[in-house]
Amino acid sequence: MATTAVVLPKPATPTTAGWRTWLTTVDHKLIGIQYLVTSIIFFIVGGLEALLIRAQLGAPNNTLVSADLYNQLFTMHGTTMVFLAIMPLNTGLANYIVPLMIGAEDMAFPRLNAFGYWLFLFGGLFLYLSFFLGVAPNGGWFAYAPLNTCADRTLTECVSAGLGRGMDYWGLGLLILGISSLAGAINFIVTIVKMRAPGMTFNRMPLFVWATLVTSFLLLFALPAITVAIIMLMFDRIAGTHFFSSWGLNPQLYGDPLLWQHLFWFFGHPEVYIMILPPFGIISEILPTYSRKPIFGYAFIAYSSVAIGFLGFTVWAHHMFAVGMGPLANAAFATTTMLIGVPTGVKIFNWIATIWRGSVRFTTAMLFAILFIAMFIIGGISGVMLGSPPYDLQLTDTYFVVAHFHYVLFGGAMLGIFAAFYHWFPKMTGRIMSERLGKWHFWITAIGFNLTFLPMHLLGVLGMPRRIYTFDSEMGWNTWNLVQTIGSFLIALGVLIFAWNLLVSLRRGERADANPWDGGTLEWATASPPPPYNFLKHPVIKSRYPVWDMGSKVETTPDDPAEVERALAHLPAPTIYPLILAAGLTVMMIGIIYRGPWLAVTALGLIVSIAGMYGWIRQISILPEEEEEEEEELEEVTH
Amino acid sequence: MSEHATHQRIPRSVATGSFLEQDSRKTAMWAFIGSETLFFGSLLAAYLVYKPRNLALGGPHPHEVLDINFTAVLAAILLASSVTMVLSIAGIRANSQKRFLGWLLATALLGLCFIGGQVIEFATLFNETFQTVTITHPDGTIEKRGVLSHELEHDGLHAIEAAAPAGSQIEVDETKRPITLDTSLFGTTFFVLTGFHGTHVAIGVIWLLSVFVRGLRGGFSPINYVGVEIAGLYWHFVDLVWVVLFTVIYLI
Repeated sequence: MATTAVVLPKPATPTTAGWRTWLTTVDHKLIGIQYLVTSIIFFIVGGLEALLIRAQLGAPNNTLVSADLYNQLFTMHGTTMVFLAIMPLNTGLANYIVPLMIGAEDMAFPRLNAFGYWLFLFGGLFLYLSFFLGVAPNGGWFAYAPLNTCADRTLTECVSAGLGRGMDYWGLGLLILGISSLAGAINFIVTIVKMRAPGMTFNRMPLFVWATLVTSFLLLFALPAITVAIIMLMFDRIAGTHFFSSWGLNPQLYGDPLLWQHLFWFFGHPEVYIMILPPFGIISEILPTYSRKPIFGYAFIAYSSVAIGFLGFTVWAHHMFAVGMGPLANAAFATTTMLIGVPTGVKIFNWIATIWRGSVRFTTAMLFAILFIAMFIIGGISGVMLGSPPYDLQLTDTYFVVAHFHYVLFGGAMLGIFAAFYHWFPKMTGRIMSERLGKWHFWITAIGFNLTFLPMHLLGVLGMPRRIYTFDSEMGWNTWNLVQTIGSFLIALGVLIFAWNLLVSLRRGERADANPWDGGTLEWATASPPPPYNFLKHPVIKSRYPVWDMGSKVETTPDDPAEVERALAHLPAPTIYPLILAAGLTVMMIGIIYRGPWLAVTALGLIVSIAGMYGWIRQISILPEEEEEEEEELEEVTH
Repeated sequence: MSEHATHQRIPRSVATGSFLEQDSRKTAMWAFIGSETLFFGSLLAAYLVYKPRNLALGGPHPHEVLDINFTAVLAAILLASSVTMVLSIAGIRANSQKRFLGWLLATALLGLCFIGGQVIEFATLFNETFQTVTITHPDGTIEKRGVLSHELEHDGLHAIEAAAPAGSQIEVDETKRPITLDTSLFGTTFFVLTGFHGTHVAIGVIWLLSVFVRGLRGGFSPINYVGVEIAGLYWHFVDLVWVVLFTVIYLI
């Protein structure tokens, strides 16, 4: 058994590599890389914003940035890291890895997949356009009313004065990104439910696939809430309605700012799990690989993700304990919040038990995975603390909250994503990332991260509010703020080393074979990097680790050229139309922001969108007949 | 172990290993419909949350300004369009292009009728005006009511006086406000909610017509009509949303 080698296809020569390929590709692997590269760039930009914030707060009464610029910086930092870094990094990894893990040739809807990427890119650029025009959003990433409207003026006055365009960019940008995420979520659900290889039952799916599936359902049901909230916000800002404002000239119209908070957090809390569940899945793949042991309690990990998915929709108002919902509502949401800690805690124990008595290899990926567990425990526990209303009332809107979610989202999600890079880089590029640079990256990040965020707990308890652009030297916050600023520059150094490692390893990294880490899941059963069609043959799936069933030996031998040609011919053709449609939709939004004569721009965008849609539909209308012919041929051959 | 037992040729572009044997596009449509449910759910929640607030602020009561009989006809038209959609799919299944295309066109036309009806409904509301009547009870509690201007002119305050406790002070605001997006919370929530439903119907009509055009060119057959089915799924969903909206806004 152990001597049997899996016969693998050689990577096919890229057909027409070059910039045109990158504009028209529908290959999930190339789109995955587009997602990853774009979101790493946005991650670095968001990091630079964080550095400016920390530089400003490094000393009391600092005047490096103005109060307004500071507001723009933390708004864009939060929005960028959530919507343009962590979410698309997860999407990019899943895009690349999930079809390989389930033995599919591509995503279910390759063109829709490309459309999702282009919307993400254009949505991100659209948001950042506001920065270049000097009107970056400044109402915080959750954009509470009245900060999302124009507090002390009537809306018409406000808009005619050109104020508050930033939140228009924010709202419409998020609308674009929402369509992108929705397209991705539907695509992942269909792909995972319908395109798994024969033998791969739900209970044999890799846990990263489980995590992606649950995340997609969360997106499906959470996104509409923020879509509706933003649509209402746009009506408030453009059409003079008062969905979220109880001030201004029309008292008979007064709505309620709390409606925004409810709608936003009904999206916003599941969003937290949308960001953290995929890294949970990543960790659940990495720990078994480097401990040479199957995951401990597979079913518990898989189904606790589902439980988190359900409970994630019942906890949103714990973000609103301080707004006066009353003791009953507070108690109810505190209960569900404590409850959701249970399935999360279950995972932690499973991960620790997976490492226990394994033959552990401390590669960079494994180190990041272990650090993830440790940091996430801290973030989880401070989360349970904040889930208790009396405690939350003391600490709400202080740096304790900032510490909490950075332990969850940096200490959790980002460390998991770093681990994923070291783990899957060889699969994506055929080269291994430098372990030496990786260890530097790891230790500097570990130290820098804790220097930056651990003291924030203390500052929060000492009463330092979040989102203040400066503070007085008499407050007693000077030392820790300085320490945090130093820590943040260490993190930046770590990211710099990581980026350098990516670039250097891409060119000069050690060559990787199909399965450099001795992994057990299906993505390791094809060449590194995989050919465009992923697999012609793969091991029979009889367990959760089909490659381990084969004794992990994977060799690359050329396939029958006729079959390769056939597989290549079957792949969907590259197309420019998803890009055109995405561009058209984005252009439409620009006109909506400036209105008046600018509505011509919206009309132009509409025409481009219709052209893109028409071309897209024409293309798929021609394809099915060809496909049928092919399938008939195939049947003739097989019968 | 032999080569055959350890390796398998992967069937290409065939959905396998799945308990759902339906076409991927249909699964995708179901997922999208799931998401849309929450979209309309959020809009409807806002309508319901603001309903009492609208009354408290002197906005018009939905039942007093909406023509329920007229909208009931619209609801019947939309429900009928679901029946014609089913007949259209039955037509293509039975390999009758004529029935398929005929019923499909009927569905699209019924959809257009609904949109026309909604335009008339909105226009009627824009042309109506309402005034806020403030009733101060003897015990000091203040009650506000939005009353249609033409009813005030016609009946005066008799009905309101009869309903209010004896000794109440009744004041009529002379400003006549049309029923639009920005004159009351009712208008705000009602027009956004039903407007988005109308937009969905409009998109559905365009979709049905594009399916019709493709059908005219012989694009569908009894073994290949998923394109019709997913358009139908969407159409049924939009109809179902109206059933809910009609019940909640017009009947309750």
